[in-house]
Amino acid sequence: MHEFSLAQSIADLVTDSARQEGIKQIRRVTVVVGEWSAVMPDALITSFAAIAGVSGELLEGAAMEVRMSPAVGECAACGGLRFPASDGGLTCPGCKGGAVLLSGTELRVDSYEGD
Amino acid sequence: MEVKVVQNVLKVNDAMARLNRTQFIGAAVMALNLIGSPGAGKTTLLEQTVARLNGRIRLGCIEGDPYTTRDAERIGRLGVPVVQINTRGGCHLDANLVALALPDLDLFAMDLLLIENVGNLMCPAQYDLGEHLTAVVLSVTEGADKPDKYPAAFQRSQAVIINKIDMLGFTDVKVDEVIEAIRRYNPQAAIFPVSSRTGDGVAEWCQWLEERLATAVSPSVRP
Repeated sequence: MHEFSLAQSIADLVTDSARQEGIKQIRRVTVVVGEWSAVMPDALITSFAAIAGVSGELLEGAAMEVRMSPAVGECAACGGLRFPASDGGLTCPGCKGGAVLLSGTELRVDSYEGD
Repeated sequence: MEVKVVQNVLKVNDAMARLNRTQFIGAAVMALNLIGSPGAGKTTLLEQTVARLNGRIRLGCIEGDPYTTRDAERIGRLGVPVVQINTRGGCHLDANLVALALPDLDLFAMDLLLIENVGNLMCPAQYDLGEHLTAVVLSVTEGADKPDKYPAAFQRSQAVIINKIDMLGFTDVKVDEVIEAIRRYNPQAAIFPVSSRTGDGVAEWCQWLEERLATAVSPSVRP
């Protein structure tokens, strides 16, 4: 999708937070990328590395770790049965009824490490 | 040390979208975000929608395109206030672009704001504009596999318009298989087989919009 601008948003977000926390050097940023979020993890990592490389001390050398979040459906009629939605969509494998999407469209910064 | 952040990367867009939504609610306007591939027939559907609803309810329109003001001219000819956003290559509308267009529209003089997104089934699904409703236009000539390939757009929508049903005879697509594919990702969405060219099925779509309008914004806050 727009990995470079998203990586820039992530860089801004963790930089602001690190300043508030008094952190001088960010080592690693962990983001969660939904399977259906239209974000390409490799492009996000490459963009972030490029931004970290030119943005000065705080982010210099910082690496990004991407945790993929699968698209998961949940069926209330089947007592909260959860199943992967990537193959057959949100049709419940138990009752063939319609389920709701529990995860898979998110794009969030989970945490970062620094000192 | 590890710092837990847990923040949405699109939080700036989402905050802008909330501001847009606040404006819409304040003016008792229902906003519709219309998504679809380039050439799916979004603008033609809007022309049909406007032709049917204009005079019954007060309409406004925002047109999103990379280039040209053609779509705004088409809608403007029907006597509806319209603003064209040119993204100059950008492949989706975001909440900020919509916010920048709002001062050019008198929200208090409309009931329904039709926002036509940039033709694209991928990115528009990720950007909240502050709308009340999202609808996808999918034409039969695109094929029945689009919901499986672009699940997020279909999953987040309240309605899907299956357009160009007058073209069915020139394709191998069956409406039932399109509906089945949509249902895999959205069991609840209202589905309207439509030909924006002949007007077939447009009445049902417009009736749905009017019904949603009656419940989306409280009559008590209408001017």
